[in-house]
Amino acid sequence: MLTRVTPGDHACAAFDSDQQLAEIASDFVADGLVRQEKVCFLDDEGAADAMLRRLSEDLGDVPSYLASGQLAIVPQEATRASFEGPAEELLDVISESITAALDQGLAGFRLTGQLTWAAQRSAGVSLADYDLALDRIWADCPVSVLCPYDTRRLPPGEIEQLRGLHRIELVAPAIFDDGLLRITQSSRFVLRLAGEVDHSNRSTVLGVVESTLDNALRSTERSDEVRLNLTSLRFLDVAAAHQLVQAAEAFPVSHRLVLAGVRPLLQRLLDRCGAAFAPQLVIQGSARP
Amino acid sequence: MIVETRVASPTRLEHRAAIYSALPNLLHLVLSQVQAAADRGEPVALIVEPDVEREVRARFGAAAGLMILPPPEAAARGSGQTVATHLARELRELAGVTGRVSFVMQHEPRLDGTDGAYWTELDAAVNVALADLPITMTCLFPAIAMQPEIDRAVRWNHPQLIESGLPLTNPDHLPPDEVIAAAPAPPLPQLGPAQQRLVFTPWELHAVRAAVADVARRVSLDEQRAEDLVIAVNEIATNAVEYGAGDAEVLLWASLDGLICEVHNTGHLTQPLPGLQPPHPGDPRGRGIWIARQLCDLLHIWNDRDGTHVRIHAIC
Repeated sequence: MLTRVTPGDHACAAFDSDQQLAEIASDFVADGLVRQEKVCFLDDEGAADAMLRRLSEDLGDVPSYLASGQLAIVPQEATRASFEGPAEELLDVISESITAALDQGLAGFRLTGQLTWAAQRSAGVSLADYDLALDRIWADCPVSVLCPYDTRRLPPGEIEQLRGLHRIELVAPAIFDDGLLRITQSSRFVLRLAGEVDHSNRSTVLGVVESTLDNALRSTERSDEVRLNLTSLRFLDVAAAHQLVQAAEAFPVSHRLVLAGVRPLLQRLLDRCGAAFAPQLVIQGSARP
Repeated sequence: MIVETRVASPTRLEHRAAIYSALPNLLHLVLSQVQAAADRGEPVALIVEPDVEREVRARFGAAAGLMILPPPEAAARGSGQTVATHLARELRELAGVTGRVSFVMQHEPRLDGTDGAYWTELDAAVNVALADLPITMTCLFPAIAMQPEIDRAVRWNHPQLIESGLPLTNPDHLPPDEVIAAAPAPPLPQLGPAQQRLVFTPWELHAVRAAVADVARRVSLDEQRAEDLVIAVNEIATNAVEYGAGDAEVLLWASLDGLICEVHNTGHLTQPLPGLQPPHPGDPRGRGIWIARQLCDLLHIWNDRDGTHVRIHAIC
């Protein structure tokens, strides 16, 4: 199991929340863009919007990648149509795209997308057959493919079968993911919150912050801060904002709670909850809108 | 350990009422209040009719620190608690700079509504919203307008009544909670059928936020206003499912001037006028409605046999 896909890999990933799909797809796409590869995303059910939003938060200037054609989003209708025709047609299109990308001087080709509809089709070529064929056509090319599978909607047996066709499975572990909010741990005292915090999950957020602080205090690494990356946090309710301020106030004077990538909306809310009166709280604004 | 360094206000709201018979009597009352404030070196904020304003300006000019406050915004009319919120915001800011402020407000008959209950709610809400502010507020009511409701507004809400130029203790004065228990905040006029209706549980607040954001985009609220409105509605919706019984309901209207939202639940408020006072920094409760009130052009809460109802209006 890996957390990154490199050129030549054909990997799969099982996901159980839209936030998780956005995270793994965005990481995969960002890696490809940075490596100067052509990246193609097969959109379905609005997954491209969530992926692009996350990509924008992490990488910045996404419109320029779209404008240059280095990043291509295949609309839902085209995605579905391509899985309804003969497998050869889709594979031919992919082969042509790989050749065109390499001819343009790009370093490679990447393919991913939202494949749930394609996996759930009752007729046509199975995804397993596509996977087997894909491995044949790029044998000697710098091509990477990531196949995400939705564990909420695909039968476990089918996912197991598809897993068996991939040498690599990408994993994106989370401390918490309820579909609304996803908390991942970037390093021991750095957490990333993606999504929304409200009445339904705020007690969990505070619990995670407190346990991370507890770890920082007990650690021999002498870390003096707990950092929450809020770049992808799109909503925080008043009680949660107030709880974060209070959590910071409860920190020992030797430690800081750093909120990084804070959007203007959250900044205004934290201000209204007395953030300025909590010296242990450090707020760093978002560099991107 | 955090040590609060805020300094408590040495004095609190002084709220009194006076009854006037005709324009000369009204002028005399206003001018004497302004003169007394000027003698104490206090700025004076006024909401009075144009004739009185002209006379005060002619007599005192800018020297007395006169400030003419605007009448209630159109969206806030009919909601005494909303007008009290807006007044408190302006007067809190002013008093933070100047110290004690004298505030004179004249009865405006166009705000009476059908029975004048607005004034009972407004003055009760003022007693909550301005309670901790160094404000000397004088409310002026015409004798001819003394409907029973307005008479109650005067007698129940003002600890002092000015008679013959002197503030005298009012024996009929009641705490605001008792006033609202006896004369609940009135419902606002009904709107037509909602354009969108959503029943939600504590786990579906995200759907409420998405629906509000969608209507905010449709009515072209600017981005910051739309974000603030989503926060406000989320707080009210959260309260509805946190303290209400069972599911709650949100109704949405895209109006010509902005967005109107109502949240209904079957629970009943224990605090009749919540969110009018800024919460204590350490108090985890009551902050949501306070912030929501600061973010909206109208936030009106009323109770009836069916439960608790909140209307929010955000103007484009």
